[in-house]
Amino acid sequence: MVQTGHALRVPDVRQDPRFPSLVEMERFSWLGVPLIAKGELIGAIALEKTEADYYSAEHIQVVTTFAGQAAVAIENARLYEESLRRATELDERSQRLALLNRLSAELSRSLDTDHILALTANELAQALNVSVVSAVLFGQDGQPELRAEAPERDLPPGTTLPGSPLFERLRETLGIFSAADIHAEPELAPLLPFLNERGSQSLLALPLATGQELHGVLFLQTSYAYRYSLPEIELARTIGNQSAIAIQNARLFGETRRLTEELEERVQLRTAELVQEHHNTETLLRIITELSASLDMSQVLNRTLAVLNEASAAEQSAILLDRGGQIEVYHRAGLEFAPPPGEGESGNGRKPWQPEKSIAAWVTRLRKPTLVNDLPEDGRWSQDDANRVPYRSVIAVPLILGEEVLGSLQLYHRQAGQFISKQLDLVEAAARQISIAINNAELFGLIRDQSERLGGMLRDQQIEASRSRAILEAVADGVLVTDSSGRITLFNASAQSILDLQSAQVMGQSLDQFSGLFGKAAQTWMRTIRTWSRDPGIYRPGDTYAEQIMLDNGRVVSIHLAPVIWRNDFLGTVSIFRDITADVKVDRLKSEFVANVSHELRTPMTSIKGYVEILLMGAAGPLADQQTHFLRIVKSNTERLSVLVNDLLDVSRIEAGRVTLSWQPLDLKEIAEDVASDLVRRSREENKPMSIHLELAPALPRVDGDLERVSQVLWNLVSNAYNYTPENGHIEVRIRSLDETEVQLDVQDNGIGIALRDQKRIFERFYRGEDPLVLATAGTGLGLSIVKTLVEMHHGRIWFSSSGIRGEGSIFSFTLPLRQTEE
Amino acid sequence: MAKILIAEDERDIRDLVAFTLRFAGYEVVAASNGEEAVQMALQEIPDLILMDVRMPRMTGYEACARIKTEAAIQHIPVVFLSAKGQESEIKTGLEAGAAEYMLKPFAPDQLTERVRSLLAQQGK
Repeated sequence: MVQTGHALRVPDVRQDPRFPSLVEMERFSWLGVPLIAKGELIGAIALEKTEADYYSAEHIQVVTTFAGQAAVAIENARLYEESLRRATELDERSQRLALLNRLSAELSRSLDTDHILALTANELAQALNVSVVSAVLFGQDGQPELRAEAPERDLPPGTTLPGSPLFERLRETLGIFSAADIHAEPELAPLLPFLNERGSQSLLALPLATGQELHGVLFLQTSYAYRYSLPEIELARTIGNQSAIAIQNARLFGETRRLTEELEERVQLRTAELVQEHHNTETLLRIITELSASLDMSQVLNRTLAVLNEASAAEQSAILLDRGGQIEVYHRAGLEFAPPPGEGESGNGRKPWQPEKSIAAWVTRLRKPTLVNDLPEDGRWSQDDANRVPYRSVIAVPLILGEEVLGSLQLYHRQAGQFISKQLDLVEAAARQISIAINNAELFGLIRDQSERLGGMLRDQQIEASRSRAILEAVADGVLVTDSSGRITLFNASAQSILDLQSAQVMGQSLDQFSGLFGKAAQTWMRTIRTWSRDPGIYRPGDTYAEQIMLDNGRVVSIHLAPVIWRNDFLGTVSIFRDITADVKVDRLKSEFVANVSHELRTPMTSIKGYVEILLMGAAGPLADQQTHFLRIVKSNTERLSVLVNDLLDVSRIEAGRVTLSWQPLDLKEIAEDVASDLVRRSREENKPMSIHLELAPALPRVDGDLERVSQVLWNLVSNAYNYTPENGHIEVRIRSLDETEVQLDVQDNGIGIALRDQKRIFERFYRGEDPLVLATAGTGLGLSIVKTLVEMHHGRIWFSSSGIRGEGSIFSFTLPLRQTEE
Repeated sequence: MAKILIAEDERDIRDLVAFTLRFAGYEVVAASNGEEAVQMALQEIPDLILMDVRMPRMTGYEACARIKTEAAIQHIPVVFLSAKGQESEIKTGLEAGAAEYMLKPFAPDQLTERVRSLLAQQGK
């Protein structure tokens, strides 16, 4: 029937296999009708009748209808019961909620832990069926303390509970522990005295925890055995949680307040420190200001030390300096004390007292500050009774500047114990500044002395320079001075008039710019200067560069140029100009005069020579022997005259620079041989026996020169040798090559030689010396002058040697350069 | 016999040259300055002219140059006589058309020899 959900009629149960035949049946008809409410089978009605087959379809219908109604009624009753139950529940819940809300509100109003616990205990006592609620909190040391109880009673302060495994368990689990019979729980054993005191029988231990932390425990106790229901436990737990949170808050609040107080304390402390620092800084600033106010040390230190004394409440301060091991007082400021005996001055004297000297030495050596509370008591410093210092408190700090210690700064007070170590910072800072100031003052002194000295030196130099300048300006010759970079730094008045340039145009300009003025000669001049400036070592003192130049305006100017070299540094040049136009003109006139005269002389000579020749030729008639003789004398004399005139002409032409050489390769052997044969002839003609020998090197190199002139030179030397050697003398001519560059020709005789005192001037024009034998011989004194010029024009050199002793003769030598193969 | 013109302002030298040459067998005509020399040359047409360089009114160079422009007498060789023997003077002389340049003082035989060789060159 349950399966089908329909009524079931069984006419005879004895015949139905569904009925177990366990018991003798007395009723044989059975009718079962399901009770179905809301589609669900909730039960059944079963009818039985002793008669079999009693029930009919009508019965089934009636019973079914009845069953339907009954099912509905049953259902309704159930629903009604249900709603009643729910209402009660809701009621309970809302009560609980109201309770919790109230508790919550009250708890949040309180920040006092004890008050919170009291509230909690009370609430719990009211809400639940408990006799006692004990609120226990763990103190700082983890000791459980009884803080509140409900019902209220006066608790002696500091009631602690003994430790118990219960607490451990609660800490671990953070869960609720309940015991229906406390005596039955071994974990509660240590707490039994406490619980018994309260007459408790069963216990509910509620943890007061937030997060993982257990703050305390709520013990809910009843005086009889009681097992708390789940809703009660839930409620208790909720209350406990609220309480725990409130306690946590209270604790946090307490900590916060404590921290705030601490902070305030610290702030006050810090403010006090800052005030002090500010004060120090201000003092330091004033000190620095004073120190940098001027370099007058005594005034500055007075003021500085005054500030320091004020800031550190010292009566006197002193700066002691270590001067090479000796400690001296550099400055003292403040109260004046009586001087040490033997000082003679006031207490602000230079001589330090013994103890302060020792203190200074100590501080200087160790580079550390020191504080003396009472000088007489301090075993470090000795004082003899004769020299007792008037003060007892001392601060001493070293005066350090970089790596060096200059000395010490010391502060004094007559009373003991005046200074504290906190002041050291300020004094040390002041000491640093003072060190700098002292150092600066000393440096300044040094620099000032040095610059005064330099200034003096400079002044002297300037005076010297002005003097030199004035001298140069006054010199009659033109003076031009250039500096090492070729700029003109002096151009005196004479130079201005000689070169026809204004000083203003020229000063400061580079010399190169003016070289154009001087024509081609200037190139060599510039080059010489450049060589000197580049390589001052080349210059030999005494080297000058001399040149004659013709200016555009026709004037002739001689220049002498010398470099100014000091210790291998090229400093510039000095050039001296002289207007030699007049001299040159005079010279030229002289030369021209000589030339003219020579030419003029030739005309009468032509006649004389000519007519004499004619006479000698016999064209004007036969001649007697004596006539012939005399005429020959006249002829030879005209020849001598001719030689003289030619020499004069040569000299004047050479001087005027009007001689040019016609260069050609020369055969020296041939020249020498011609000269030798001429000599032989002359010797014969004049009847003065003389031997001449040629010694010529076998392979003479080729030499270039003017054939006529070279012959002239050789002839002149040989002729001199002949003239100045008595008869039967000997002349030797040697020609050989001298290294790779020159050929040397020597003419040696054994005649009268050249007196030593005449030797210097032998090449001078017209000079014949004072030797009477020389003067007795015919000669013009022009020969050697001409020869020298000619040799030099060939780029050769000429010299001689003679002992000056009669019979030893002289050797005249000259060189000719070898012909240049690469031209 | 060849005819020689001598132009020389110095009388003594003029006479010396004339004597020397006449002694050697030549015919000699003389002028005493440049202008005269040109005129005489044109007149006499000598075979050789000996000309002093330094003469008043017209120098030897100028006279020589003039002679060389005259067709009739261009051909006549001119020999300069001078005391100045510098290259530049010699060059000037030769450029002026001279055949030779002789330096004073000269020996008369030298002169004669020179004249003879010059005339020989000419075929005289």
